[in-house]
Amino acid sequence: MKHYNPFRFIACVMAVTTLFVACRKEPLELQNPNTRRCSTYFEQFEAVWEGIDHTYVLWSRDTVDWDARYEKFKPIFESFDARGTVDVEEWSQAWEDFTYGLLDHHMYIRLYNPKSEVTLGLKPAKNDYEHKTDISAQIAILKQQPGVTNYVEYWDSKNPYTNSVACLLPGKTTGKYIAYLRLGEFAISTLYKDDTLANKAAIEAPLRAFYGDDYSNGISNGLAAREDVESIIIDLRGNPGGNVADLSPAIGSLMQTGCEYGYSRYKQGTGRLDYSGWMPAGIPLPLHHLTKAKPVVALTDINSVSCAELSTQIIKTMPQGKVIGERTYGGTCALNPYTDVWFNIYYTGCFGDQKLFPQPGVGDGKPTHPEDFAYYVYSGTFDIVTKDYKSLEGVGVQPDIKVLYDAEALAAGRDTQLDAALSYLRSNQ
Amino acid sequence: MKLFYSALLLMCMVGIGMQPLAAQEEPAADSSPRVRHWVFGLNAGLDRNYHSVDMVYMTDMRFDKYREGSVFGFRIGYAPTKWLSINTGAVLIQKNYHMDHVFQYYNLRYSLPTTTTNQYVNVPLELRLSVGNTVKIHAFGGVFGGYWLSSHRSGTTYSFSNDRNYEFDEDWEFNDKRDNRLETGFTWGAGISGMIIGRIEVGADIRWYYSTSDIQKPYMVNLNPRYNTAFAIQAGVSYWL
Repeated sequence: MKHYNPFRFIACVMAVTTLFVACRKEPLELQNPNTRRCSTYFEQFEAVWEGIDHTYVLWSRDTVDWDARYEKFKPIFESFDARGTVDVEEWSQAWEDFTYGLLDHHMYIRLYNPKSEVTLGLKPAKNDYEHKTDISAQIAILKQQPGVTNYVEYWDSKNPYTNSVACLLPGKTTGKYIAYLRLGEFAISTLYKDDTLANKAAIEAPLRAFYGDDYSNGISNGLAAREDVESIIIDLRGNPGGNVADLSPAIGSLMQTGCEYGYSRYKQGTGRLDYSGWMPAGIPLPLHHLTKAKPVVALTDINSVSCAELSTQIIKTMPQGKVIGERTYGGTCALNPYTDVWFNIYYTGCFGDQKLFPQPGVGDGKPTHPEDFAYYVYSGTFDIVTKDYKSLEGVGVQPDIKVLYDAEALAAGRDTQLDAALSYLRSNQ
Repeated sequence: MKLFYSALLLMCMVGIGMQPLAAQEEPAADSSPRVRHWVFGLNAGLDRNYHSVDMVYMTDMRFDKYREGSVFGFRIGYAPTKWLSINTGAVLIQKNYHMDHVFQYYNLRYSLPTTTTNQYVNVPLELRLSVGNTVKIHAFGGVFGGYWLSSHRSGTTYSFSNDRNYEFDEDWEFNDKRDNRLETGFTWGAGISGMIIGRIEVGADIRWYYSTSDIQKPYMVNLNPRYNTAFAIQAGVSYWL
């Protein structure tokens, strides 16, 4: 019998193993976009491209060809470095064109150009319909409504997070009322815990009036709970959103059970389509809530964003809920703007270092690292869909009764959207 | 793990206990050995899959190096000579992996595990070299093609909106754009076998399924590859025609 040489056998095995390993692609060396530092136009471009490439939560439905954008704009940003300096307008336009049309309606990109000492802000998503909401005019008209009572307002246009208005309006039945609440932002629980505000009693007065003293836990002894209140208006026009945790006291308290309004997911890898599974997104029933269902109207417009849209969607699915006004903005992802909190956990959503930008009021207001091409991308962490897995991103919640914003009527002292809500609740519904 | 090593022990015992009979030779009426060429067999066993993925800076998402699964299949072999055979067949093999998302949120430490169970069918085509008369030792190598039949995920995640952990146990829907369900690769290994009764042969082998195809389609330029390497231990019974 022929004797086998074991060393030859081992050498063969090693050679074959080397051949096999060579058949696999090498992993890429990707940098963490949350900590990356850039010193050129091109590095800044590449950091933002790469960060969005593997952390953006909406790649499953965004139609932008991101690889093609890289190929198209890479030579442009490289040429900026070759030239040394570049006109600010040209630089801004390149960024505008490069990011144009990304779907995430929360997305906001900040860029610092140290050569020109200019900070640029971009919103890549575009809506084909937009207007400003004249909240002051709408509040002024509300105050003049016939029969308005228990009117409580705190509105500081410089700090919308504190703002709200509550009142009673005559209802369908004589002696019965419609409870009205306008929320400036979803910041109920933040406000409740904030003991630094000098005029806190005045700020929280409308919330106490509508929900009750324990307003961060829902409706207790406020206007909405009164026996003579037969229906409710939640005015979300111009509401930019806020804390998702507020959905429970603010909207969940209008219901008698908790609710699941859809599903959410996040990224779980560097691949654009590496996602977690869908998990139910819902709101628990708060400590205090209505024990008997009442008709609820959500008043919305194109400037109802994020949490305001989730609230609208929840009210839309309530048996006695109705959405009146305009479609909402279409920014339905959930996010946390602090990159040291959620990005470091989920590796999705907002990334970049805001501290590298010039900070007015801090020191001499100049950047701590003046040579850095700083960047910050504000973007969704969680993708949220409805219960039938439909995304509202870029689409918004459609109203049940459509009433477009009418600036001319407002100027003439008439709020057509509020009128529609009141006439709906005062009709036989 | 206990199951894995128990199976390994069992297969060693099977190997040791095999009867000292020729593999594909049996006495004919004229007392010259008759060579049998075709063999059909069934195999079952366990495997451990190594899921190769580079998570780069996503260091809180940790993939376990190995995850156990099961193997079940059949083989058809043709042996033109006593020491060489060509084999094929089909194997249902699990290529599982496990990821633990471990992170600190304020003062609390979270662990959100996900176990992914993947069912593949692999079709190997391999050459087998055999030595020995009564008890045979085999070494084999070749290529395989495969298809990713199904995927199932179970584990825990954190539902931010409900502010609580969410348990899931669900079939994973394939994404036509992302998932490469066709698989190719190399297979090699070694085994031992022996005849027990008449034409019935029992054996055991260890083998690797080394996939050279990414489990993802090249749907983006900056895509980090993901590969499976399954190490299987299996025992089986064969019948020589």
